Amino acid sequence: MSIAHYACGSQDHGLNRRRFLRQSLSGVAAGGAIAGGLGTLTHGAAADQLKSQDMRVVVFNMHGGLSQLESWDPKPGTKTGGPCRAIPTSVPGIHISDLLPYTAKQMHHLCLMRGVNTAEDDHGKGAYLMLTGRRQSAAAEYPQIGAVAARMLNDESRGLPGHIVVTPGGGGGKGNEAAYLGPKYSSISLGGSKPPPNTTKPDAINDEAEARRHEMRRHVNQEFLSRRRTAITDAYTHSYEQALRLMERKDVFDISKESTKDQERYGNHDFGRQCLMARRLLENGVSFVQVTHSNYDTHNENFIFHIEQLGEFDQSFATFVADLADRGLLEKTLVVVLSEFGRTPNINLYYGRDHWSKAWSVLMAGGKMARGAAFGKTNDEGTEVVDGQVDHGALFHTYLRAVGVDSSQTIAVDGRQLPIADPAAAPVWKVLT
Amino acid sequence: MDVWAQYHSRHNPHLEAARRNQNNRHSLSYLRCRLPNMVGGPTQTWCTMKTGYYHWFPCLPFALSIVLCLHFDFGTVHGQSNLATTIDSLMERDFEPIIGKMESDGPLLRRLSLDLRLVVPTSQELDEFLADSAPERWQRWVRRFLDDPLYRERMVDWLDKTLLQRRPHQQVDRAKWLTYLRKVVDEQKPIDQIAKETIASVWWNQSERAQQRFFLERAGDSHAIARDLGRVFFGRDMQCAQCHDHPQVDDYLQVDYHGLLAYVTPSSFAEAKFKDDKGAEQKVQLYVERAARDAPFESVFDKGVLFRTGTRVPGSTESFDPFEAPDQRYQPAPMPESMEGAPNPPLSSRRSSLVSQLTASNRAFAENWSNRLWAMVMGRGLVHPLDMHHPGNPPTNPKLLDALTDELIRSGFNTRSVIEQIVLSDAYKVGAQLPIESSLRFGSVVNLPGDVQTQFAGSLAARKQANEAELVQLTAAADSAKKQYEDSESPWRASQKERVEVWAEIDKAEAAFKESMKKNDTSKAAFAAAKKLLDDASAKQKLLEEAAGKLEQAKLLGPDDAELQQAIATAKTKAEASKASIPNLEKGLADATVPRDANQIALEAERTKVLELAAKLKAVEERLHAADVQFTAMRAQWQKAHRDATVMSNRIADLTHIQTWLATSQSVGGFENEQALVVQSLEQSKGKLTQQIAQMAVTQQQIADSTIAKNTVAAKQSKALEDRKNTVAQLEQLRSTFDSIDKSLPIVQSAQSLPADSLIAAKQTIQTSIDATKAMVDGMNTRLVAIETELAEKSKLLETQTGQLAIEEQSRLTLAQGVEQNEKLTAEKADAKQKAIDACSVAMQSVFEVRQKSSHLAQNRPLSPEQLGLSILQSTDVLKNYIAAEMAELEKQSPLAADASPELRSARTLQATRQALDKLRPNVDIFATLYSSGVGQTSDEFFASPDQALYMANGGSVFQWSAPSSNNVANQIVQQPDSIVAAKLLFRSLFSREATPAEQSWIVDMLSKAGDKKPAVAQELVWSLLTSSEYRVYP
Repeated sequence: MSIAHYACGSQDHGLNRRRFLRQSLSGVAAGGAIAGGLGTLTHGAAADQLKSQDMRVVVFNMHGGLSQLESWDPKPGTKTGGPCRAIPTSVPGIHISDLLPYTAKQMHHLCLMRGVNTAEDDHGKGAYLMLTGRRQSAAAEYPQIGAVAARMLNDESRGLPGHIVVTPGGGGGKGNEAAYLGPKYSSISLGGSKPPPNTTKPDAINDEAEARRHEMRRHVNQEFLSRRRTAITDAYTHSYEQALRLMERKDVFDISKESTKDQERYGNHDFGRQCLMARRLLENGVSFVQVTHSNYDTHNENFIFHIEQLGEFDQSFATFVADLADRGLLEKTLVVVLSEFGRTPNINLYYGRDHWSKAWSVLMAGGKMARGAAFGKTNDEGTEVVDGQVDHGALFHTYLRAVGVDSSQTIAVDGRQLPIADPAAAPVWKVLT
Repeated sequence: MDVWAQYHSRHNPHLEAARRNQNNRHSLSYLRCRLPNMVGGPTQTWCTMKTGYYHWFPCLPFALSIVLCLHFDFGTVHGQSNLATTIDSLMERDFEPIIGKMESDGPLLRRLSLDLRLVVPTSQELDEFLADSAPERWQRWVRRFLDDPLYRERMVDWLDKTLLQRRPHQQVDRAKWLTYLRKVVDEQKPIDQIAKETIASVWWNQSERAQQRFFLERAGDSHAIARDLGRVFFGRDMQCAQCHDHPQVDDYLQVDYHGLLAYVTPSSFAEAKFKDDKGAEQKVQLYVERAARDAPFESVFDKGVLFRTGTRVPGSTESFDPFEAPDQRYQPAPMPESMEGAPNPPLSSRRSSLVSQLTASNRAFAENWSNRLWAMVMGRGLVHPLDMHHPGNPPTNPKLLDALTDELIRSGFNTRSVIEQIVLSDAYKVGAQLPIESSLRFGSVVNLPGDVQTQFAGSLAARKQANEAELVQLTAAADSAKKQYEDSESPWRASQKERVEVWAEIDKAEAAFKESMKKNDTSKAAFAAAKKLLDDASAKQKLLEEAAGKLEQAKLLGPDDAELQQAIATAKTKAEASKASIPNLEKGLADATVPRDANQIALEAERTKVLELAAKLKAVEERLHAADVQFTAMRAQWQKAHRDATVMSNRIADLTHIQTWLATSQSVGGFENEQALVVQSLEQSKGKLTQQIAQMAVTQQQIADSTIAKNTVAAKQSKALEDRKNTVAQLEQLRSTFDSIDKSLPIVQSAQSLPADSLIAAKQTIQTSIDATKAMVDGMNTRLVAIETELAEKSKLLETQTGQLAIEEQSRLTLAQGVEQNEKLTAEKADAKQKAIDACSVAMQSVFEVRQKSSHLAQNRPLSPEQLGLSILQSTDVLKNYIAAEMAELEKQSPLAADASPELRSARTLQATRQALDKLRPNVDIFATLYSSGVGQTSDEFFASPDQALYMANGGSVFQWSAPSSNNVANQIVQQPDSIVAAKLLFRSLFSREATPAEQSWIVDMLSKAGDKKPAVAQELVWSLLTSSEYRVYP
């Protein structure tokens, strides 16, 4: 076994480079630990272990607020039920809305959380709490699940970013979802099957020159690192090699490389393509992918909009889940379908449903989640949770536990120990296997 | 000879030179006197080091250094003269082998330039610096960089990041903000002044909007602002104390957080309107202040126990607002140039009251800034993180923080003078490498003589023991202080409770007052209305009567006029009607007067109640204040005692780390010895085995030989047997012939017809042959016997030899087992040694941390995003060219006279530099986006990510800037015929150091291979240096 020997300046140690880099990189992530090694090293081992389990997360963000009554928790024949019916699923006894016939056939892979109560009816704040597991406060910012997943799960040696948000349009920007985890874990947004920015070498440089300048850079580094070597210099040097690897793997971001048949199966529309991109990214080992489906904010004509929206969602999503299961990826991938909140049981004058966070549903699947389960219950008219009530804090803990992350741990950031999930909340153990 | 002297002589050229010096004897005795001092504690100081370690021979006579060493207490002189000297006197020079090597020349200049100007030095500057041999060279260059226009931009950058933490420009545009900061820096405004301006400024119009950015960009959110007031101005991040006392930091109380929050709870955003230059109406958010009103709060762990606090800054007691009746709390009239929508400010402003706390008398405030300045140039605060000042996280060197703070206060919060003094100190020049580093082989201090190690370990142990004894006392003191602190809390809490109760009454009374005020306003309005009706009626009557009078006069003048007559009559009638309405209206007025007066009386009664309660509150507040004074004093006492104990226990922990390192390094040495022994016996056993195998080969050869010999004999035997057999057969033949003859002879003789003589002769002959053959057989038999004997001998020999081989094989097996065992042992030892090396390496890592923490070793610092971006622009001459272009442009616009004053000229350079930087800002912003921590983070944590590298490689600009053009370094390389000169130039320009011989030959090689691609190769070389790790970090 060998450990990174910063500053000792000797070469006569067989250094397991890959292992070492992971250690030092996780040290970088540990923030305050960058200046020093002990925390870095001990943390590195744990992180390594986790990363070797190779877990991933994909979030489907049903933007605007998906109606639970037209999806996961239908109440047909009641005052609040609306015109949609409930259909049986592949799990006897569990019924979901007839707007989701394909998804119903995948129910044996899925776990419904029907007792969600988040008490937040504002779009921005609702999205914030669902993605961070905490209520928004001006005095503190918390990292989103994507940043936490990238921090805890991403295997840097794959050369791919750990936190990707797939958008239908142009991408390229860098988000600010990582808060104190640092921008390293912020999302890279991808759009239109385009690779991340700057992944093509300048035209003016031919292959020979490209190889030569990087060789020069390595040479210069080698000279320096033989004299002075720290976690900083190692991480920095390594980032260039990662960049080169990312350039080599640009194809990962190109769904035209997928078969025509698959492209058809996922549907010839933005959401279908995003689902296919998500599959491609997860298969290649990206630790977190977020796909957004918009827009469910149906204050008017709730039913017509849900028929249209879910009509698009259903087939692509069901295909995605089935593919993940077929390929053995579902074991390693947590799938979450969430919104900022649900929609009111009450149907308003415009056949719409309004914002409603008191009793709604979230769907989870894969990883360590129970399969073919429905947890929690609302009353007959869906106006209140009567059993298995959970909130955003519990869900956030559950996301993490579902991919094998100890959600009670703290991480060191700039000399502070920060809990990765709200310490006042706990996972929903009953839905975890 | 003294072991330290031996050690020094190996590592210090000064000393070596000095050894040849006649003062040698003194120096050695000086050295000897130092070890016991080390054991004694922190009396060993940097200053003695300065005179003693690096420069003692040339500088001061021995006697003086002894005086300095033993009798001079530097702690008492700081603040009066030279902070740099004080700093060095307070840096404890203990455990010298683990104090960083002093930087010099290129790397030192690079560090200074980065710290004071954000950019690396140019190669011309480096040349000048190296050529400067004046004794006051360092002072001169410090001054030179402080006077550089880029120093001002450095301070702008520092203020910007410190105050705004990279928040985007949503409320105040960037140009305005920069203009403000530049003005502040140009005027050399003291930092306390800047803090004050930030907190209290005109908010009712836009005249001082830029300086309100602290509030505005935090969207006027009280919690966000309260948190950052604590972080930025007092070095305390009390966010976690918002809902309860801080769970991890025992000194951050919920009441502290709410005390800060109270300064801004009366403030909020309000929309106001103004007309822009084009006269169009624009809206803007103002951060307005209203009259203070505190809400009660409770701890989520202690629900139902209500608290209420006014304003309180860390380290002070709560201050109380003057109490005015609710209708007496605002300025009666709008402020001059108030914008539409801006309310009148309150008479008593909490923001102003906060400003009055931001002074030298608040130690937390002053310490926060001295710590931030230290961190700016040293890369790490004495208290770190910068916003976690509390007794559980004390400064690594409390005396030093005190000295810095005293000097900051003495200088009138002059940042420049403090920064100057810090960079003038020797502490600033300490490098990131240890003097023993070259001799370090994974932690084993092989080059430290054994007795040095022993002494080192001994002094560590002694120091630790002394510290542990001290810690016992300090802990006891802290415990007793804690007890007193806790005792003082109950009266304070009791008064708190009283205050909450009075405030509840006041709340009620004020509600009643406001209700009454409403009624009063209504009845006042009714009275006014009634009065107006009456007044109008009287006036109307009077006017109509006057009009009638005037008309009468007009009638007298004219011919008779019916219409006029009619008008007079109408006026008179109307006047009568008005007159007639008056009594009713008078009654109405009288009716309105009664409630008005009653309500006024009621209001005054309510006011009296409120003011009575206010008086009651005042009494409670006085009691509370008395309790608070006691509480705060006891708390301060505990803080200090707690801090001292923590400092001591941290020191012990640090010593333990050093001890662990020493022990592990010794154990590596031990394993090395053991390993050597094991390897030796392995070699021995291997040797024996080899010998044995050789011996066996001999035996085997012998066996082979014997076998051959035996076989030869055996062959001889078979041959002899065969011969004998043939001879015997021959004999038999002869005998048979003989017998035949013998048988025939009587017949022949009896026949007598035949001659018998020949037959007899033949018989005789055969007999002879038989005899001869028989003799032969006998001979053969004898020989065969001999052969058999020989064969038996040979067989026996072979048997013996085979037996010996078997024995030898047995011992070979034993020996081989021995070798195997030794090999296993060797592997075990190697493994154990490896483990010891790993342990040592980890321990070494801790020692590095310990020493970096206390500034005995330079931090491993990356360049900030701005430093990186601007340095790349500097190294590629882009910055220089931009400045030159701006200078030319300015010159074109308004040429400077030939006799223009130096002030005018430097003002021009400053302006050009700023304009150039403004134009280049988008480029630097890319670095900020890619390399900085997010908005609102306290510091730029280092991280490296592929998108940074992708930008550097493919983003375009950096590679483009590296291309040869005008007189930049790439072009100089292209033009330079001598590749060695080119190599030197490249490394001086980009790394501020000389190229090593290996690097020189590498460059020579690259350039010689380049051929006609030399410009491309030069560009790639520059790029490869810019993107290297060496460029990314401080030297």
